Amino acid sequence: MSKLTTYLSITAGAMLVLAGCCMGGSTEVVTPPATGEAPPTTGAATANPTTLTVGAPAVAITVAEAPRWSFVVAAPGEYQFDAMGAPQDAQLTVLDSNGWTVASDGDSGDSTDARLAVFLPAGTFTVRVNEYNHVAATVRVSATQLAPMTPVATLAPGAPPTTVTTPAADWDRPSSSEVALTITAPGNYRINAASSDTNACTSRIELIQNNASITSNSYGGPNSSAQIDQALTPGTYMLRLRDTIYRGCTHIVTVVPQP
Amino acid sequence: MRRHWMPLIAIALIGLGGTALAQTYPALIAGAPALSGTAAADPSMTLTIATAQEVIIDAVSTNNTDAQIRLMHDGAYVADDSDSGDGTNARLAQFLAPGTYQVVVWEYQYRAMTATVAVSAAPAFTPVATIAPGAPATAISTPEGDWQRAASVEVALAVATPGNYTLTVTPGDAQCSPEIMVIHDMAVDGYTISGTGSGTPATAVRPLVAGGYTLRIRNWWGHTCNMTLTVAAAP
Repeated sequence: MSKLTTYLSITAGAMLVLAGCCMGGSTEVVTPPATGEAPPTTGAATANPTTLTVGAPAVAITVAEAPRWSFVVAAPGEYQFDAMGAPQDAQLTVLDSNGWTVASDGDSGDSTDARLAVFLPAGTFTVRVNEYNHVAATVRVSATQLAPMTPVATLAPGAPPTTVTTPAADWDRPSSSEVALTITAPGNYRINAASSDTNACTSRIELIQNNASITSNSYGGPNSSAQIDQALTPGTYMLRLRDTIYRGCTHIVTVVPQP
Repeated sequence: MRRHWMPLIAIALIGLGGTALAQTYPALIAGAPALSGTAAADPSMTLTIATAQEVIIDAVSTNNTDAQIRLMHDGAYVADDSDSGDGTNARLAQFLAPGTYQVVVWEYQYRAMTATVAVSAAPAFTPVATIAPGAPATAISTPEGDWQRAASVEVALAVATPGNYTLTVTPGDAQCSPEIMVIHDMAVDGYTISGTGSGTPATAVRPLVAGGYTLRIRNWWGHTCNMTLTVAAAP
């Protein structure tokens, strides 16, 4: 142990030996893992009481921090994160540098695994996992930078309504299709997507430019259509379309300049 | 030589603080193989209830974190709470039938936490009124309270004849959203009765047996509210 990059964690027991005090906890000194490996399992919850009694004095407990990894985004883009913990129920959260949740998911992966895709700007993020039922779980986490989707059509403001089909899938991204939108004149535009079968599907639109999500909407237009009113500058945008609950659907898309 | 002491000093400081250091994981890299991490089980404590009663469960963080409580029974969800205690502490009042329950405590942001957990018998309310079905509307006023029990009052209801009764609490103003919890034999009878929004009455028809009931009434918003209560035989 030639370096001071020592990993410390508390379990119960040895703390009494090492420090002669302190709530019956133990401490183990864990050598740092090699790059790419997870640190050994640590658990601050091992010494917790197992019973509660009505009217008895309060008991002290210790809760361990959930596993979390830093994730550095050098270039804005869309990233997919997977948290695989079956048979336990892994939950996944992406946090920004201020600790605010950017995206989270419970069960979009296989079985009860978590999976999400999110556009991230450059910066440092935290990827955190926890177990839905608060039981112990070993979770594998991966990140993938996603290639842009290939648009299925190109739209211009004022063009006739365009029909876009989106596939059925078990989570949001594979159930999506993208349409390229070319803006030549700056101004306000109304983007609407309505299901061709109003009894079945409900459209969702996400407006994307330069690998960043600008805004999204569902249910904001007439008859539960998706609608975005947005000031746009000249350039190319992407409209990502899907059904709100990932059914295979047909959407009627219009982009209309607004006064 | 001095360096040999540093881990021990660090360990002692951790012990004094009572807080586990965070695990440190390597950075996650897009396209790299999956990394593995282990989430420890959150504390789960067994609570055995011998006689039906209302209990208050408090989880109080001792390191400025945000304690959460979930109450389970035979693996099924019963209730949970986030912030009904002081600050962001969790507090849960629950009528419990005899049996074995599990109290699970965790931290809202899944940070390391030290906390205390206690279960106490809920103190009985003194009823603010006693009514019988068919009595004139009874005026009641609910107090300001920062959690549901503190914002509640109780009315004793004596039912002489079993049957269906319409329970109605009408709010005195549009900012008030009354709720009625019907309590019988130290158990909540059915769902909590509420209105359709602020300013609307909480009303429902309930089958009641002969005997004593308690109606626990509050404004959902936790603010003071003047209300009127009626209990009438339902057609």
